[in-house]
Amino acid sequence: LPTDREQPIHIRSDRAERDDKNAITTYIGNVELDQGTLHIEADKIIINQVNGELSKIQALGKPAKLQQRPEENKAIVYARGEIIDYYAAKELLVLTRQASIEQDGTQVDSEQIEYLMAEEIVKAKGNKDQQEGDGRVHVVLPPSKKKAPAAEVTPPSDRIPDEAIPTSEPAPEAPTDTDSTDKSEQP
Amino acid sequence: MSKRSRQVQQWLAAAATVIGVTAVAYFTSPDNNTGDLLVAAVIKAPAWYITEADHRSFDVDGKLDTHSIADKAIHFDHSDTSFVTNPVIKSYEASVTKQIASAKNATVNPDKTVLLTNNVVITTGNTAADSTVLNTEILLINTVLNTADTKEAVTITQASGVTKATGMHADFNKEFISLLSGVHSVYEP
Repeated sequence: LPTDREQPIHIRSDRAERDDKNAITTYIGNVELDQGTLHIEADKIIINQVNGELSKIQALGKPAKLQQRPEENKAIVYARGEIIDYYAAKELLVLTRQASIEQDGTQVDSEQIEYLMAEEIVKAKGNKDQQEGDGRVHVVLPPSKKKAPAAEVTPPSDRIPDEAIPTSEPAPEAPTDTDSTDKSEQP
Repeated sequence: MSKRSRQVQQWLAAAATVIGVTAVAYFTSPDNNTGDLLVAAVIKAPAWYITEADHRSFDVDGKLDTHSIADKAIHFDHSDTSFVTNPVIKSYEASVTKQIASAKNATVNPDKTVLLTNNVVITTGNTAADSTVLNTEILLINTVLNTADTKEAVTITQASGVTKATGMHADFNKEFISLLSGVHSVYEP
């Protein structure tokens, strides 16, 4: 969610190492990171800080997994990759090696994927030198959900007929002399 | 009976008396614990004893290097060990505070390690933005290697957040900390 960035970040792991000189903290073993709806699972997470502020989060795994709900009424985005780089300031996600991103049935697989979270823009790049697969970008788009035709509703016997329901439309005007021709046509 | 043999008899009698007294004391003492007897024999009076201690050391340029204060310090020569109460040890770099270590108790060992126990607080850095505060209950500091180790729970507080873990190894020269298990960090936005 847009408010995710205002939430504290919780990280749990088996071990951790803090390099104060370079302001790098490395979390190792069954690492889980949570910030609002953002959730990352990885073997290792490296936190880079600049002037005490979080600048970059790198998750490494086989694969590392990430999920987040971009907006209240939107489906959750699921992302995977052996390397996930998350740039907090730019709200940019870079997935590398065995990269995959999926939302609501739409899925993109390739060697590298860049996902601009705020704009919800996905850029995917293949790698022809890749050993497995053809190294191209694969996209799966689910069939669009067409609106089903309005089914004919047969009024059940106990339903109140429409004519009985007073409508807000003006009552039909009383017939005048000019309409006499209509009257003569009536049987 | 020659004079020499009479002396031997007297020594034997004296030795027998000492052994007898010790045996009687051993069997009549309530807990029969020889340990107490041995310790009682080894402990000697402290070599020195200081109250409201205030100790400063300076580097080759004459700048303040360390400043230590304590409510009380006792030193025993036989074990070359000092026991300090409420120590606060400040170390400086070019007269700027680099690190402050405090605890309820400290034991200064002959191998130049210092065991801090009971409400141990280590503060490094000197501004709110870059300071790191470490809290634990037991910490063994090696003043030669400038490292610190504990198996206890630790809490590390920094401007960016708080980290809790169990077990830690810190190398102050390398400015590197390893947290050994059960790590939970919270970074504030």
